[in-house]
Amino acid sequence: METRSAAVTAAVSSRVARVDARNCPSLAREQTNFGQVTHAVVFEAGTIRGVVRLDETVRTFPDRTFAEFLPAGPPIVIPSGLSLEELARRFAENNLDAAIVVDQQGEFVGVVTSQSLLAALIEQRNIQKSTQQDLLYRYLRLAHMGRINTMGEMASGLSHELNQPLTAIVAYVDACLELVETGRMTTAQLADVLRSVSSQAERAGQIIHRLRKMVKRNQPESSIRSMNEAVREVAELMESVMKQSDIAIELDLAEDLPEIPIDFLQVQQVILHLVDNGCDAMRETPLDKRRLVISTRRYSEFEIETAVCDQGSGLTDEAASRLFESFFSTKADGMGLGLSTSRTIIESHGGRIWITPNSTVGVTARFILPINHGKAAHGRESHRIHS
Amino acid sequence: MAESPTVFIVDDDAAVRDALALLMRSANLSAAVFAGAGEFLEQFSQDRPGCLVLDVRMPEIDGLELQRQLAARGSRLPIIMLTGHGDIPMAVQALRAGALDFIPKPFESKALLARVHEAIELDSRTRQQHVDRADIKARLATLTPRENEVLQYLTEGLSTKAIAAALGSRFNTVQNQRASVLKKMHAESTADLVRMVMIAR
Repeated sequence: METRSAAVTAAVSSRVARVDARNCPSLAREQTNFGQVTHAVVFEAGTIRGVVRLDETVRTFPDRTFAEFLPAGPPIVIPSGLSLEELARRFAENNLDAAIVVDQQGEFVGVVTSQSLLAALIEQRNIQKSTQQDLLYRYLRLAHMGRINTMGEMASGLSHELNQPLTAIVAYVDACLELVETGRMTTAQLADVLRSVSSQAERAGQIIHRLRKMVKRNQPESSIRSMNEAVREVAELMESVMKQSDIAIELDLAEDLPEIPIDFLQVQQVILHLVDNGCDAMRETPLDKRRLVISTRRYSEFEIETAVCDQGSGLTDEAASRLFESFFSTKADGMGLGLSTSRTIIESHGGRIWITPNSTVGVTARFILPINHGKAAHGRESHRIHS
Repeated sequence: MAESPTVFIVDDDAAVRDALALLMRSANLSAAVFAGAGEFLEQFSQDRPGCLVLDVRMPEIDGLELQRQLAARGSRLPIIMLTGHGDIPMAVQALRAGALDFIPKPFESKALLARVHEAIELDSRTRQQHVDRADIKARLATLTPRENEVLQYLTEGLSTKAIAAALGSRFNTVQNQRASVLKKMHAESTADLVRMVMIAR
């Protein structure tokens, strides 16, 4: 029988690095196995300053120090005597991403992150199934929101950085135009400026390059899982929510599908998002026609398709062409990041995602995932897949 | 003749600085560049006319802080703040603190140049007014106490006759004093005199 404090200890993440506040992420990466680390607990003169999530924002600005990435306000501290359920409640209610665990003497025990907490919750089989589902649902949501936030931060950080070379290029070119047109510039002077323009364009390119590298580094942690299982879990989680909206959910799952290498949670986020979208689209649909079908099938010899078909209001041509753009949304309260995030996830799995109108009413969103992704083409040693 | 105006550019990005300076030169404006607020403050002189093109985001002292420090030194140099996408709250703060305008990066060169010209004009008007004020104060200082009294009554709209009655003086005496005030103040009329007194206040 596990004691209560052991439960909190079970949620402590093993993927947290201790770093110094004056250190910077690029240095820390060299010193630790940064690829496996999700958070850094920041110390300054022996005192804990807080926890930094090593997300895209941090990776985009490797030259800053950890102190600059610390969230505002005092760090969230959790006593190690807390029960796992209470811990989960605090995380969900306060939308926490990470918290510091200290023992009764106030000594640092470790850091609990939303990921490690979720893992611990799933591990703990003695939680009642409904509670577990409820928590899992909340955490899928939370993880989803977390991703959206970092995407937003990343987008704003990148646009700031990109603005500099773009501003320089525009000013250089306009100045040259004026000077050349009024005969106040020699070709040698012009060549000089053109060299500067070229190096600024290169600088912009490097920022994009860094973004690409960062996305790569964020590749999913795959395990061999069943798509049907992913779909069933999401469907179960969503059942009560959908009942409230009078939406019937139907599963049409091909039973002979092989298990495939996926980041289970990420792929579930995509399904969850597509189901959410489908439900939203059916707000105006007559009650007896509100039906959502999730299906899986073998798309080709190498790929599995998952499709979410709704009977909703469909899409305008404009919306159809812009669906996957970041910050484009047809919803009044939408951030326009759901589908672009979904696409990022699916593409990082080597798959594709698209949405087509149904012949009668509504749309079908589908994504295909390769059965052998990462095995032949990439051959990354750290993620060797055992079959 | 006063010094010709300079566009002071403060931006921590070397390429942006360099490009902006060239853009100013292409518009026949002289530019001076500074890599940071500290560097600018070191060389700052109240006497140099022009305007300030300032990046709102800079390490150590940011644009808003520089704006505050300049205001504390009594600077009236018009400020055009360069901002990024998410900087609207900072831009609003800059405007509240008296910046002429903010322009989000990347911007249209024409838009920036138009604002720069406007800023320089504003600065020259402010400086002219400042000079006028100093002049008027110097002239006021040359008036005798009695002339000062006459001036006071004149600005209140009293006629020469009424002033003579109020001061218990002869009409001709007040008339001479009035002429003397106008002459000393380089004023063409009583209306002119009123305007000057307003500026001096």
